[in-house]
Amino acid sequence: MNSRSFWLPVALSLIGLIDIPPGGAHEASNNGVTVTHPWTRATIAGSKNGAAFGEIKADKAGADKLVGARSTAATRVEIHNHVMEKGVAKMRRVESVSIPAGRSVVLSPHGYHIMLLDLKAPLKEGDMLPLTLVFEKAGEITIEASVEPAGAMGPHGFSHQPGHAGHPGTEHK
Amino acid sequence: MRRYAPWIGLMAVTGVIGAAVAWWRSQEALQQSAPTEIAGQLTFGGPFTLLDHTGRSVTEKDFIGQHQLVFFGFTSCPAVCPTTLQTVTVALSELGSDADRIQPMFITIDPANDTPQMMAAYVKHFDKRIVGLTGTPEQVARAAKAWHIHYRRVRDKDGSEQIEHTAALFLMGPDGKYLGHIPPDVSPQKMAQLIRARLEPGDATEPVPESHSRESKL
Repeated sequence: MNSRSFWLPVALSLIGLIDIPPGGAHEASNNGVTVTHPWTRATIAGSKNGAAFGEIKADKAGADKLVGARSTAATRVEIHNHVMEKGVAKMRRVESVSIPAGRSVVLSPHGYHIMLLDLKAPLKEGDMLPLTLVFEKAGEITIEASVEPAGAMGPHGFSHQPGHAGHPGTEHK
Repeated sequence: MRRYAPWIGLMAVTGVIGAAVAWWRSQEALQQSAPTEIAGQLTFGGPFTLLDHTGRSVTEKDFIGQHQLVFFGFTSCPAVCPTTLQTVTVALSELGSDADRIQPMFITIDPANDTPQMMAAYVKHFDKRIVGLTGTPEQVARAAKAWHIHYRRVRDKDGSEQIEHTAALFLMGPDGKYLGHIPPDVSPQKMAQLIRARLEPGDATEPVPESHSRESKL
């Protein structure tokens, strides 16, 4: 084998590796609830808050409720809903988000999302954000959210959150 | 040819449904946007003195001669503002060379936190033509008042602080006069369409459909 025929496949496989998002799982499940493609946006130094998004799916076997979240990267983590009232953008803290049986709920910049308050350090593009979501029945799911560019509208390689538009979920104040 | 007929029929039907959905969504976006009822009686915009993201003091006169796309937000706003800035970024690229006739202006409503350096670090993630503007709290309040921007710090029971703010975008003419506003939650394509329709009033290269002309009149 000459060196060229050896290095070509090696080089190609390395190129292939570059595209694989770094580190963390893209999907994590526990007791019938699955969290898929969690992502967040890079923040600048001095900016205190961030927000995380993704898709949560409950098995046909049973509905569940997202009741909390935490992250080692932020002092406080809350579930928020973004509402537009007469053109005024408002964030509302909610206690929980219902995940109906067999359906998905998409956390997005336009609706429910995980609010990261008082970030300990700016979120850097390419990093992974440790995130634990707490469900009423399924318990805790820990996953890493990919830190995308500041203006990203979806996880790596997507222009928006992939998957079904999902159920808007039910808010419990 | 005949065997394609069902497919052509199907494409026509999906096209009609798509157009109907797009129209419905634009109407929905229209209803959610604020200044609808008050436009016509109020003017938007006026004199201001602010600092741009390079630290230079600017007034409304510095932007005369170009259309202006004005919107307000703050750098610690995690969901709405990056989405709006990204929508503007994609809309400008959709507009191609026409985008050079527009000066997008992102004005902070959080001057205590958003220094020119912060604004510079923030806007560099988006289209290079976007200028970030800040100033003293009084200067910012004056600009916000000129555009009838509602903004308010809201503290919940845990002390978590948010700023509610009017998220609409305002299109101003080269003379600084208000031309129309754009709801914040439109697609970049829709935003580009609404801007293009107002770039040369009365001389649009394409006829403006009813639903668009209603929106751009706001």
